[in-house]
Amino acid sequence: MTAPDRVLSFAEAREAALRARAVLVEHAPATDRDAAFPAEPVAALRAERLLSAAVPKEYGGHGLAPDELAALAAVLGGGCGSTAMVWAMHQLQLACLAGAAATSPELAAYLREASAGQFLVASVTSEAGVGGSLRESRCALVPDGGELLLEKEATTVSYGAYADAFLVTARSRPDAAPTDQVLVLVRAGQARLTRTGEWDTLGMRGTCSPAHSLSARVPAAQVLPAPFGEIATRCMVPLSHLLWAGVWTGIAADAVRRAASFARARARAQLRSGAVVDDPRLGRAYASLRVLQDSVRQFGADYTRFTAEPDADTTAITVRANALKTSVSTGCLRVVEQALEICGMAGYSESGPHSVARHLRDLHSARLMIANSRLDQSNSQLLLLGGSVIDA
Amino acid sequence: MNDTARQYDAVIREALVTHSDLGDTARELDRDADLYAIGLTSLHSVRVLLSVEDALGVEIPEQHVGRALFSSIGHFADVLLDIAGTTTGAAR
Repeated sequence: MTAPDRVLSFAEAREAALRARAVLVEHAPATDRDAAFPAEPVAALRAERLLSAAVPKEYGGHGLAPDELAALAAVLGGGCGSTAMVWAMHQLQLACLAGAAATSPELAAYLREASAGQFLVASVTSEAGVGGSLRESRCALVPDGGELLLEKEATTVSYGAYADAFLVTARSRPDAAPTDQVLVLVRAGQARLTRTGEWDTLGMRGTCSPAHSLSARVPAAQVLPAPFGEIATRCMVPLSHLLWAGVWTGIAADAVRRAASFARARARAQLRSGAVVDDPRLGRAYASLRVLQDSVRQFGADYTRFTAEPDADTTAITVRANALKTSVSTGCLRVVEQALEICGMAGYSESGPHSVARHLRDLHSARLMIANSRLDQSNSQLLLLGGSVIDA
Repeated sequence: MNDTARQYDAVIREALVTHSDLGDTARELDRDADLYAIGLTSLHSVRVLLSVEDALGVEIPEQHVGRALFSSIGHFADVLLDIAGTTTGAAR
């Protein structure tokens, strides 16, 4: 455990993530089986002070860059998909807040508080009646005596019941268009969050993401100054796809590790009986994984450069982020399927050192977290603008 | 060299005889001879590793597995002694 005020370098944060991963591994089966919030694993991340990874150093965080966050997401994904996804979604909220902190003393102060207290921040971007579109809201901020009122019916709120605060999308005022959105910080103490749905899913069960209704009253200063469209384009969309992809490659890498361990045991037996070890499947699974890992790293590096250039072309980064998301989400699932074929029944089993059952179930969520078909559709339209993105 | 060390030494040499191109010369090699320098390939080294694991009924932890493990028969045996020491040492 590190001293409260110490800034972790990436190398130190990675070591901390590896230590925390042991706790994730230990609790992963129960988290998954009981669809329970991973309280101990998150406490371990908090104890390692990894909840403030994405907060800039000036606000008391570790100031890690997007590519570094993606690498940590992969480390954690190798231990427990649900916990890693909670961590990744939380970092995303912090990054959105960090972008606003320079022009908002209120939000800067909140980030300092969140770093010091290792707060967990959740997202309330989903809403009933908008067809899954991130860029449309029905609910609106309603001015009320210098403060703002907000009522929202969200279709999924991950770890909402365990969060210290929320970032919520809403129309900027009661007469605003559905796409005239803002992002507003709501502290748990300023909100009434009521669970309105169940969370009993195929995978990612520990993210605890049922429907909720949220009702809140917040000071106007808690609204992020930039329009949500800008935050979404520059930060939320590309960074979420990067960090999720990090988690997914981490899950797939763990499945390949399990397949390698299984193959090693089998090769030992084959050698004993004089048989030739000539199974190409592990090599193929690794090749598929490696391409995905390298794609995530390359996009991470490029997006990190993008964030330093205020005038950079946002269309190119959007198209690439969407492509990364759709290809890594389906590719990682295929990698785990390859691992399943290597491990056979030991892989199909829900327990044991060579099980990849949870990995498979968790990764089926990947194509749905912002549906791939929606992203492919967006890209198909954006690519009509011209071919410069294709060659880049 | 105690009995365990002698046993490990012999198991490694037998694995090299059976699973590498070094053949019978592996029985006479100096304990500190660089195995790669005299022709051990990485593909053969994997088979040697698996065969040693099988013969001793152990699994060498990932962090010990790598090119360095095969730098010499003596080094490989020392790693095996280390592993045996950490897994069963407390009971002795």
